[in-house]
Amino acid sequence: MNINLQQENGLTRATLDETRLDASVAPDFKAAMEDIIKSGNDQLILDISKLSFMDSSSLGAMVAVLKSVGGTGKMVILGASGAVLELFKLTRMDRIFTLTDDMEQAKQHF
Amino acid sequence: MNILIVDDAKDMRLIMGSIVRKLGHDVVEAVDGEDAWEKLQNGKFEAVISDWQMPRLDGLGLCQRIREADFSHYTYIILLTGLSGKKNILDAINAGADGFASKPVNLEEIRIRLLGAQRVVTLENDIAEKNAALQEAHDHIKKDLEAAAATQLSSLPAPLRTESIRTEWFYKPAIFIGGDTFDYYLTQNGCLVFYSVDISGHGISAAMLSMSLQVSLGLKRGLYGGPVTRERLEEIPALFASNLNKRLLEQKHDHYLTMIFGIVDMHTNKLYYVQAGHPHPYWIRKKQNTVSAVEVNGFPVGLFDGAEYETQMLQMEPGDKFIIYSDGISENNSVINQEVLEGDNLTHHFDDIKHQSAKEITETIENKWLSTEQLNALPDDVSFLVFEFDNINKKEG
Repeated sequence: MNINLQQENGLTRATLDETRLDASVAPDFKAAMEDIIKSGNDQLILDISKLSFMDSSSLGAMVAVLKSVGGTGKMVILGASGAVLELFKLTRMDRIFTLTDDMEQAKQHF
Repeated sequence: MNILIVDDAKDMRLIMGSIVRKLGHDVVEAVDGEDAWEKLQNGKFEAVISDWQMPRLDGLGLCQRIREADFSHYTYIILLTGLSGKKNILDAINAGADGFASKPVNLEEIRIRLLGAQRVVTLENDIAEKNAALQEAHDHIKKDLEAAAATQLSSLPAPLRTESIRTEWFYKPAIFIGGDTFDYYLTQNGCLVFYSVDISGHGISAAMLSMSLQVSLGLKRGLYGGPVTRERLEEIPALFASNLNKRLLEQKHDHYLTMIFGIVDMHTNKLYYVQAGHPHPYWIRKKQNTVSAVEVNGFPVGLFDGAEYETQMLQMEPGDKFIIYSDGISENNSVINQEVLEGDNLTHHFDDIKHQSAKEITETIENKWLSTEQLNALPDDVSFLVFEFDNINKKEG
């Protein structure tokens, strides 16, 4: 699971460097993100603009990541598009997650 | 070890034989490669010590034959080298030789070479034993899974044949057994209750949950909040999803599911359903001659506490078809245009077959959209359930 981290002014930008997120890699994704959050990165912009496919089985991992950010933390999802964005809408996850496709807008949420 | 000594010179066989016996091994002698090959067929030898140049079949040729053969055990090969030069050694290694001993032979060198042979043979035997055990376990699991797959398939409903509604389905799991399931049943008051479910993840644990749901969804009144009466048709689907959501969250596992659950009033052909994160169903309307995905969204079941659900109602007309399916299809490219079977492309595919009967539609999906190779290696379970509506017959039920 390739996730690149950049920190700036207390914000962490986690860029998912993968094109697919499905049942076989979702546990790795979840574990890697939980490690990132546990090590103090709870003001998080998760950039998933490279993802072109995501299945409903990996939504659980996304939700688990959101839960582990906790009450004081915050996570914004950047760059969901195409079939990935459709899945967020289909499952109403667009109401649970904060989604944006613009980095400047993402920063406004903090 | 049982060792085969191969040399065309009788005196060399005698010297080597006596050395090897002295080192505590059993010895059989062969006069050339062909003779050795015959003896290898009839006995089990852990190691072969062979001369290089011999009539009929030389040491290199013997090496090649042993390596090409399908012996149940490993045969360690030591070649005796009078020949020198890198090329010869390389040829011998390529042919499958494990070690070399130089001529004239001496006891100390043979002792060391055979120690190496012993170590490799022990290791190879160990691996062979473990492989055999793994193979046995693998065969056992495979057989079990195949039996489980047959059980799962047999739990799926037979095509429904009433005067006003017919159903057909296509189901193919990714690995023997799947997390997709569906079912339908008629109530005594003329309603058809149905659902299509996709459990998150796939494999055994998803399949077990899918089977246990298959058993409980139709029977447990608790999920329906009371009997299925005509007055409650609008209430039940959303309530069912909400109750199932609570139940799954109470259970201590990580699975959740996407689902379409619905009820058709067979007196009116009104279809009430709840969309819980499942792909948008397709509605083929005969009179309008249209195909469209019904774009209503909803939360998956078992992911959030307190998720709210809504019941949708569609009025089905004679000749209309309603198709529900899981998202597994969207991981496959169509054989027809090599594009992913999702979104607009999937709609176009259904548009091309909108005149087909439910039965023909499931056959087209299996035989025209997907290849045999794809069907044998699906990344996720693929399931389609097709309802075909006809004139209402109020006598039914």
